Amino acid sequence: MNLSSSGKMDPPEPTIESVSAALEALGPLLVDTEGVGIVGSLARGNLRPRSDIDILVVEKEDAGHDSSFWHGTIRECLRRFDRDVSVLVFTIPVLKKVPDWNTLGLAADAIMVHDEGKVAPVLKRIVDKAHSVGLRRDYSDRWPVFKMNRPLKFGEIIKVELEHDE
Amino acid sequence: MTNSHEWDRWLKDARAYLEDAEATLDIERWRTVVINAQLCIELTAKAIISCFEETKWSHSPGKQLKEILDRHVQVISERAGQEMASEIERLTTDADIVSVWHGKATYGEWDKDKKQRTPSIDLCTEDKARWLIEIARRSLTTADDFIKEWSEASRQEG
Repeated sequence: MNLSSSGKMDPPEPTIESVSAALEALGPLLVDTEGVGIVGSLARGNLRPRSDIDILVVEKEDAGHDSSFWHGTIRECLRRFDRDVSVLVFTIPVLKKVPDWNTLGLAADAIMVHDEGKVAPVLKRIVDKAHSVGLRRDYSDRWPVFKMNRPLKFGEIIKVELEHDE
Repeated sequence: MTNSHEWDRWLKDARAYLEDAEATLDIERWRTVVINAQLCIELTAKAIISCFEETKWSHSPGKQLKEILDRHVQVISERAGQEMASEIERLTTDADIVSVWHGKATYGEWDKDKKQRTPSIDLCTEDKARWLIEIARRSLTTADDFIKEWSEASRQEG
């Protein structure tokens, strides 16, 4: 860390390693998760000076926390980076439903910091399912998006979802 | 994930933003009109985009919509009409032109000589509000009409 012109310490630059270490320091709280990972621009390697740090939390279904718990906990453990922090909370069944288009990007980008063994395979199956229906990750104006690898038929329905036992 | 659920939710939110803009037009809250009208326009573009692909995290979706239009202009013209293709083309431009108002209506803007910021409340005049809400109304009509055609085609295919 460097001293700024005001004499205060500059916040450390978020890296995969430094953010992972901060998340791992959650220690016993991680027991309530199936997995925790880094997503977004930090995971993709194009974090900019004002980018958020984006974190994926896959909570155990019986964890019993309300929706604000992980947002507050993760933000606190990453406070030293002095960045906005976005926390995306799922359970395995919700992840398998692939709630929206952006979940595909999350599945493709995630670098798991903590994983009890179930999350990474589910994320891979989501991406594989996307590929099986003809979707590919491409770039729109340097921004990664999932799109079909061919022009669509008018009115075509695109569906990506895992079955309960997939 | 289905694209049908995605276009539904974007369109629902776009419609709600326009309703908010209309309600605050009546009470002359110009900045609130600007904020809601810009979001309506942005989300109508994203509603159409989401029929085809993932939307970018951007307040300026016009370029992505233009890429989609260029790739599908023939099938859109054949199935939804040449006028629809032209209206979508107009939306691609509108969405990008108005995107700057997302920041301006929130944070204001530096003066030309960058000595001070004009507050957003001073930038968001009645003229700007009325201009933006007009664009929002026609953008929602475009998205509504296109998605009606697209949905009907989905039902026929299904």
